[in-house]
Amino acid sequence: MRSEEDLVLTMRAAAGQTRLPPDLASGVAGRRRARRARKRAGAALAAAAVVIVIGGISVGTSGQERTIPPAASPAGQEPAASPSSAIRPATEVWPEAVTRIPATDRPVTALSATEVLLYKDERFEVYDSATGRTRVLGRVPAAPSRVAVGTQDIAWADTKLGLWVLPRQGGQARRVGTAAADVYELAVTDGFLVWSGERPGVYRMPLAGGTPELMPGAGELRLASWPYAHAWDAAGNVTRIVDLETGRSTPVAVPEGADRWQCGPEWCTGLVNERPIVQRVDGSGRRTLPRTFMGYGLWWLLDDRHALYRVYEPDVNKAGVPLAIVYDLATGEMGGVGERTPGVEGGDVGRVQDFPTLFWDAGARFYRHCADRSCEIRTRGGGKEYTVLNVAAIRG
Amino acid sequence: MEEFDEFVRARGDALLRYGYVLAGNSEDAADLVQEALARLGDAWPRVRKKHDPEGYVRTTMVRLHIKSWRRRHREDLVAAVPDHGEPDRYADADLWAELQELPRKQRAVLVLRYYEDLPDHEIAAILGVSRGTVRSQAARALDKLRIIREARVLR
Repeated sequence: MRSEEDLVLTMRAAAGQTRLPPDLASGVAGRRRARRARKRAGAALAAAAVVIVIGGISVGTSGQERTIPPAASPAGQEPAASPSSAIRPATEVWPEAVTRIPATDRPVTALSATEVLLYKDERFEVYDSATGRTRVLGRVPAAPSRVAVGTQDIAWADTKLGLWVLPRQGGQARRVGTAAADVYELAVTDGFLVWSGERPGVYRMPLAGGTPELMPGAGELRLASWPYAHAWDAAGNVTRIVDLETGRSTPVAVPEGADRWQCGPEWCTGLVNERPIVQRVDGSGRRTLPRTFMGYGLWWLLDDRHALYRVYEPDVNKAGVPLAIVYDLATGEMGGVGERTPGVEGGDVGRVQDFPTLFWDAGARFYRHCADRSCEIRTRGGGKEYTVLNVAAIRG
Repeated sequence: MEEFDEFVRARGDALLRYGYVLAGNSEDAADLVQEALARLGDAWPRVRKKHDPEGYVRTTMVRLHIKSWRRRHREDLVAAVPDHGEPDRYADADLWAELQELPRKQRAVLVLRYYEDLPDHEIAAILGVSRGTVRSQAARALDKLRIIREARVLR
């Protein structure tokens, strides 16, 4: 017979012989990115929109974050720091991209300069700020977990893997087919639905229906923004960009030590030594962003060339500090989103899925609520309207 | 962010060893640790406030393992302990193999009691079961492994 001591020793001996994987940290970073995508995929849109608003940008809720000085950057690369309160509001910098909608509606994404897609009461609707009216596009028979907007159609995956389309002009929803696994990224083109899931591989299905087909050469890719797909390394850094329409494959110059490396077709951003940097896909044009900029979550690109950064502002009581910065990677133009309540390091900015649309309640004030040794940022006031920034409408 | 990365660096090895004892193989151990650390990373501001990130990860790992972690083939499960390096004189390869055969919850109870050295009421809290369940699961597991219980101080 054996004793309890034998059990203890056997477990300890086994523990001592574990093979340690070479890079735990990058594995964890990759997981976190996949988790984020999974969370998005799992929640029905109606619930996700609410969650995203609440869980928007809560900067440094711990109150400790601001005491951490930003990491030093190599000499000569540092642009002049721009004071956080000197950043002009996005509503002034890009008035053409701003719409306002009643706060009773939750936007999904902007469709044009004045139109915003809404999902409510199991219907897709379009709010037009020019007329102040809402028009119903059609009923949604199965709640969407992932939505895509194409030139002709709105498409979605429901929570049970069903794939649907509805004409953008309005009409009847039609079930196209069924995906084999959860849909994380979805696009609708003129002839096809295109998507990818948790594991690499970009699939497509004709809008007329059929079975999912792995796109040629896309077995190791994940759909980014149609027609682009990405290859990632184990840590989730984008290493290659493929145009699925032409088959053109472009390697990404990932800097040594890069973290959360993310790219549009021309520009990339990510962290090097904890500082956000920007460079072209081929590695040229590199610059380290001012100290005011901090990464936000795991993926802060909003579209092919704009990114959303958190604001580093050590003076928590300073007035006129935006909640976040939208930054044009190509031109360096920037605009502040929302405004901090002095004394509170954060607030809510909403974004649904990967749509390049941000919305916030300019009338809201924020406060810290602490209980059970943890704090969160809550909102009071506001509730009248959302300011909606359609990043895709920013163009000179 | 920096603090979290530092935590991963400092505690990664110990967590992997714990994962190995729980899961019985290196691959699942690495899976468990990475998933639990990813969850910790997402919850870091909240967890850090409570001053026990390690407890959070270990609890997440054991719950993940019991709940849903992928089951490996039997042939993988019965691999002997000293699959590389020097065989440890204390390692009882048969006992280790038999441990893998136990139902997950029973095995988790044993790991928490004999590897983590936790009292039964803490094990009960971690697993979300009653103290009586912990005791009965442990007793059943020890019987299967033919381990004679010494007189334990009731805990």
